[in-house]
Amino acid sequence: MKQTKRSLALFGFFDRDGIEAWLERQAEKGWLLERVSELFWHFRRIEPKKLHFSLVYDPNGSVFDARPTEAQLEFQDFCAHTGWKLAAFNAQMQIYYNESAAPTPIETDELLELPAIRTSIRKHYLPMFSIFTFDAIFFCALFFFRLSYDPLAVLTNTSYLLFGLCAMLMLVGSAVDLISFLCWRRQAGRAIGQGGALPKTRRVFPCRYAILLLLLLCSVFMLASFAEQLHLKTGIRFAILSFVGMLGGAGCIVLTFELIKRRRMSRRKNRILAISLVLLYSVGFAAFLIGMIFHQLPSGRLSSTPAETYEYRGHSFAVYRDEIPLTIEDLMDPGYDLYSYELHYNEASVLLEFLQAEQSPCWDALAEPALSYSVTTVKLPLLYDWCRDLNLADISTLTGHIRVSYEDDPPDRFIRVDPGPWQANEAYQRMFDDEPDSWFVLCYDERIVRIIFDGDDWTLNDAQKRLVGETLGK
Amino acid sequence: MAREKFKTLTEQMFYTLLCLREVCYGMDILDRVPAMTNRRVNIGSGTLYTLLEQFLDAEMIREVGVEGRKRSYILTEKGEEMLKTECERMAAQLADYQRIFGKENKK
Repeated sequence: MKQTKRSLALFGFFDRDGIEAWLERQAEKGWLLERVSELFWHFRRIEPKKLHFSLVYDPNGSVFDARPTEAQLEFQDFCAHTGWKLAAFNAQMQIYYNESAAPTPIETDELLELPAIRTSIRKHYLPMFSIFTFDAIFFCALFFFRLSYDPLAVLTNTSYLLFGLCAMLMLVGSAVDLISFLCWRRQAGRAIGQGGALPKTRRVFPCRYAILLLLLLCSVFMLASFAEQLHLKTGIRFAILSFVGMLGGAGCIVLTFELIKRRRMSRRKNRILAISLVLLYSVGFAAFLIGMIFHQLPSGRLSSTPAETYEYRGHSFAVYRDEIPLTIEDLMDPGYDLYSYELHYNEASVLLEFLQAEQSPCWDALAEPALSYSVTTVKLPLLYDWCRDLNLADISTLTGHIRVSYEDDPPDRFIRVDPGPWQANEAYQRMFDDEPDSWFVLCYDERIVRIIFDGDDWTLNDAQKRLVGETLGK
Repeated sequence: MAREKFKTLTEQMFYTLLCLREVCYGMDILDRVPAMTNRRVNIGSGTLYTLLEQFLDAEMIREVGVEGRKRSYILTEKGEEMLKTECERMAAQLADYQRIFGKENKK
């Protein structure tokens, strides 16, 4: 029979009532707490019995203590005198148990107890909370900055969406802890001021479990999605690797710190070692970020390998032979066969799909017809109007990866045209210098097509328009 | 509103100081207070530990001996004065009560 076990208990630091009740249930099942590490609560097998637990906050305790201080040993003697034995301690938290049926509580004056809890939380909980919250805010800011700059690239990329979700979950977790503690502290202060007892602490661990579970799920999906795209967008790779590196590094620090504490060295030595470790990790992580920025970011474009290259006026140009859904040859016979077929972008997430493709002639045949288009497939209907507006907006291309903008260009202006020939629900045509241009935005049930026909005297007939609708819109 | 420190004494403070009229180990107070009050007042070990620290800081008691980790204390003049003031306050309360309810009982 298993004699020891360890559990991951995601209690809030100040959730004294939750921790005590949980430990009492464990004792009734035959498990007595014997150690609290940075990650797990360690138990040993006992005869199942009814035990009382009491969590005491010692503001003078430190996370760097590997063994109790003299003052803590004296405190333990006091507690032992009334039958309270130390089960485990960690930082400012000391957990005692008592086998008596109705023991005198360790704390019998809330007026003395509340300041100790407040001081302990201020010294231990709030610094850790601040670091975690800062990380969460940083990741959220990174996500929303990218979302505002390049919304389609973010919303069509599962990895990036999951990264944003993780960042927001971290922030929600922080907010739940902070709000829960602040509410309890206010209630406790009011109760004590009126001569009452401390209120029960709020149970935040169901929320913490849910957040941890979601974070793990997101991380798994994110890594899976990331692995698929490893050869693609390095900007996203940079963000995700940073996130994974940060979490992995934090995990390594916690584990190493746990090993250091087992050597039972003094608080001072433990502190020096732990700080050195964090500094080492920080320098390593900074080096990693700098390395990524200098060596990875410049090549952020989705591209296949060129099929061939050609020279024009002393410059070398690439010709691609990507599979694209609609070609000029589908619409007509161009009488020209040196086209480059390039799939610029093809991404899908649970919210959106976005495809951007181009068929262009060589530089020495610019009078030949050219075709470029993007297809936005909206999976979440709520986003449809936003996507349509984005397609009608003043941007030359729709994703930051290949964005080209000219500040002097007049803003795009589209007018509504007859959608019938396109078999669309709505159709818009761009006006250029108050003349209709060959740029169209076509709205179908789930898709929005933005298509540009280029070339001298190329005007589409109804059959060609219908084919565009059937190929790209349905 | 928060209670001003030691302006008035709680029962636990009062009996802790009372125990220290003679030299006493800190943890012995845990037994003496319930015995003195016929178990009406119990004092928690954590509460007593904090109280002794605060009384020492306020110079209401002083340490007189150490045996291993056991420390013994005794009341100082300031502590005695505090006890006396508290007793006078309680006596005044009792007198007020008797004056009010004593009149009603005579009616």
